Amino acid sequence: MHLNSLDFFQLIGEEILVFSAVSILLLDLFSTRVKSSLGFLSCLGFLGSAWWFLTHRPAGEIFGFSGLWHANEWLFYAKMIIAGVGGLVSLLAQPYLQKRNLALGEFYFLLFSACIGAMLCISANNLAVLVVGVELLSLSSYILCGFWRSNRASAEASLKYFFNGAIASAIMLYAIALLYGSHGHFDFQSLASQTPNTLGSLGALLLMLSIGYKLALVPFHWWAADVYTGAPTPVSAFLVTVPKFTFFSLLWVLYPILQNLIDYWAELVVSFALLSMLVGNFIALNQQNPKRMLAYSSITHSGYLALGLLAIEQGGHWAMLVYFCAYALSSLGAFAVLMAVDKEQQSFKDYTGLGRIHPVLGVSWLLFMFSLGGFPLSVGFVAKFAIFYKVLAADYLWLMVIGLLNSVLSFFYYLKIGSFLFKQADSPPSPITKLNWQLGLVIVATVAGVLGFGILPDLLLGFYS
Amino acid sequence: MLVDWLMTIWQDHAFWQDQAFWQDHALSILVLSPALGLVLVYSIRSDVWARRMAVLSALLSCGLSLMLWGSFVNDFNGFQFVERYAWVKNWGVDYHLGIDGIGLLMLVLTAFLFSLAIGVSANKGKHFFACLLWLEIGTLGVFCALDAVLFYVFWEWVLIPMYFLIRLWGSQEKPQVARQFFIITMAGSVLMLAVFWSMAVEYQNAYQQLSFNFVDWQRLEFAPTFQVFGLWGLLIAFGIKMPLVPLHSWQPITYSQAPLGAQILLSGILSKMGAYGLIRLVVPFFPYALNYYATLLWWLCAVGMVYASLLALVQKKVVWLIAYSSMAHLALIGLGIFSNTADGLQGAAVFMFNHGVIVSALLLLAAMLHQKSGTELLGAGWQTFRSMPWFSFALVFTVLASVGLPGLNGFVGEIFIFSGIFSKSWPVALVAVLSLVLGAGYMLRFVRKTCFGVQTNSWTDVTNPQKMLLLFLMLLMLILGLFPMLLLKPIEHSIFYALNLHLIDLHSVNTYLKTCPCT
Repeated sequence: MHLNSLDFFQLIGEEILVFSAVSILLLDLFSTRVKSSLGFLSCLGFLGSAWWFLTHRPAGEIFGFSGLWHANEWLFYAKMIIAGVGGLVSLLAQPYLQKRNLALGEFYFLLFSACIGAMLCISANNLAVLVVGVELLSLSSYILCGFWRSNRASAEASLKYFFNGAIASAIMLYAIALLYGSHGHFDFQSLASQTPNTLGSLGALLLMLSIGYKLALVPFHWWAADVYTGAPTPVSAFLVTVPKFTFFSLLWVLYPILQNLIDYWAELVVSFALLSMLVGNFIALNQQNPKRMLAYSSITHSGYLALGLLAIEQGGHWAMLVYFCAYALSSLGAFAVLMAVDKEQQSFKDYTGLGRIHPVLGVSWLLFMFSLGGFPLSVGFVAKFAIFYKVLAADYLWLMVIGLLNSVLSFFYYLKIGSFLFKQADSPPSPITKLNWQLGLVIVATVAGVLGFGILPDLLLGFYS
Repeated sequence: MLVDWLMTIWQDHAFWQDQAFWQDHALSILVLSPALGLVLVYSIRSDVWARRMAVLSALLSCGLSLMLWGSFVNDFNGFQFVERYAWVKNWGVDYHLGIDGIGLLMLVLTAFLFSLAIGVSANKGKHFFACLLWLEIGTLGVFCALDAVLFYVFWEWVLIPMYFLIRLWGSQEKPQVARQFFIITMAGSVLMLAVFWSMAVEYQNAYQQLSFNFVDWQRLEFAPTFQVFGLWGLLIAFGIKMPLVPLHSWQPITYSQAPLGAQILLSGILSKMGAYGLIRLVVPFFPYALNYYATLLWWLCAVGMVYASLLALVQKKVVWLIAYSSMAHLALIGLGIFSNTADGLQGAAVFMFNHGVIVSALLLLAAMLHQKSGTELLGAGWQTFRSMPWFSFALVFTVLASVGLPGLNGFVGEIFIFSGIFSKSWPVALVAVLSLVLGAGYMLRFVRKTCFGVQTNSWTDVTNPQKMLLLFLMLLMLILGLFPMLLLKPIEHSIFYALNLHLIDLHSVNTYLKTCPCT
């Protein structure tokens, strides 16, 4: 294997993250004065990386490290979104961690390593490297989940995530073993052009299922609700976005292989999508805890994203990218408002009258809910338009109609808090809010994104080929 | 003759109509004029003055819509006051506004009803009036949008303020009604969106260009199977909004839970959005499917009319009675549209306007009655003709207009619709006439139990401002009944345009004015 020094110049985005991770850790170790600005510094590191990805997009397909690594414009956009999400999460996490006296440097280091793992995973051109990336992302996530060690829910979430994630990784390794055993190749290009045989198809199927497991697609979704609810809130915000984006990007990268080796790939994706959309919605209807409701709604949104995979020939992957952006903005905003209400085990009733005391929080929560449901003039509508239009162009009319009706159904639970927000808070005590500048900044940024991209979709769609 | 004379005077004095600025921006100014009201309402501290600002803003929109009517050219084939700016280039979506006669009438009705609704609402705080003004932007926009996505955006725009109006300021008996209304209506709208997307895909396949423009889509001839899908998708969407039986179950409970202002708007103008959608979209684009399912649709409407009328006959609450009567009248409008005749369409369009005026007067009277009697229930035989003579007179007058007495405005639309449907199928028309008879039945029952009973009471008559308002509404009904050409003239050409689409040359007034040698 030739190690060309030029290869490292293609990885500057990830290297910025590595450098930031190590420096934040060292800063936390050696200096006590900068503790309160560690979140802001991490955010700068993430945003710097995102900026690099935005401005150095490759023209075509580029390879590195003797074919172990690859990238193209789409992947750079995906990495930019991952870095952006990481930045917003690190900003949100600072006050949360400080209030609970949790270690700061280690948290940000793990956040960085999770994002680096995600970026490695989607840029991998080789099954072995893929495993390294997936494991880096997963292991960092397991620890992040259980970061609040003294909290029972957090420890439980971490353990559940670890066991389920380990099973998924084991299945993935087994699948890779089968693929290698039957075809004799690790790299994606060769695998995409192989004639299918039974063992290889089984391997590809298992690979697909293991990724589905990690994505919490139905019927592998059982672990998701408890994990997302129990994890500390900034970590939940991270978990519903970054691993989802990573593994959907991975499904796109692996599309040539999976499509080649599995006959019924489209049917498989359709079943995943349909089941996730419907089951996620129906369970979310009954939820009383807003965090849990957002967790189940994330399963529904995975279903919508899976629809984008069906239309790859028509450019569905670009629609997926728009959806990543929209979902990140709306979700992070929603989690930011969740963090403003200072209560660990929340219920919808805790929000009674919040809209009257803090109109900005009330209105922005409603905005995020409308965006998640796909109401016009919000970025969520732009995303649903993009994905459903591609699905229609790929000739899946009824799937699109079911998806649209499903979005409407989701308003049953998205509007639930809305009915509490602006009521007179007479008998229950008014909600205690914990506001800080980081929360305010994140909310302002996400509201601007949701409304701005909703009213002027061309800003977001500008990178459609 | 008289009407022609009146209209030439009005249009000769419409000195603004040649101004290019007016031609190019009138619709945007009208649609965004409530935004000015919003700014005013939120920049004033006192609630009383905020309400006055809201009323002023609504009256401003009213004035603008009348100015629009004054500068409207009656015998023009096509859309006037066209504005087109690129909005989302990637999707082929433009900010495209334009009106024909039907759109004009709906804009005038919208502005008028909003002024009425804001004027008669009690002061419930500045957010209430802000919601009403926000609602007005959406409603005005729906009637002039010529781009499918813009149409959809304005259509959904209406839902959020209406949700808050019902949830926060309605009667708090059944709070879940607001959410149910939101979701049922939105379910219909996303079906409409699905149909729009399919039409865009068809256009893209035919012309290799993505466009959501109604005018562009008119170049297409959709395949029969596609037309069937499009017809039923749009029918469900508009049928939920109007509502048409069997998609009607949300309507009476929602009307009863909404505050007075929202009630007037729901029954007066939001239901007309559905009918307008039928005329603007279903009739021009899906003629084959409409023809194929004509008999089924006629029977659906006729049976719906009779069903709603029968239900109205047994109602115990006044608002529910008015809601079912509104449902029956909207089914009549639907019958007129589905009859696919010039008479039927003209009658439907005129009736849309007239019914808006009548039903808002009815709801106003019901609210006054509720205030005096203290109960929502239908009278047990009250004798208001002695204690409240003005009120009773207004009630009988409005009821007669609703029943379709010739000389008042309700008759005009009905006669045209019946003329249209009789020419196509007399059994359907007979069943529809049955609903007219039932209509007289439940309305006169209402009047009898309220005005001409034996239970005397000592209620005072309505206040002077209320008397003035009722007088104005009654005069309006009388004038529109005696001079129907006022309404019919603008819509004549739009009807033929909707029916004979492919034979008409599609130029906007702007290009006409620029190329015409006489200006």
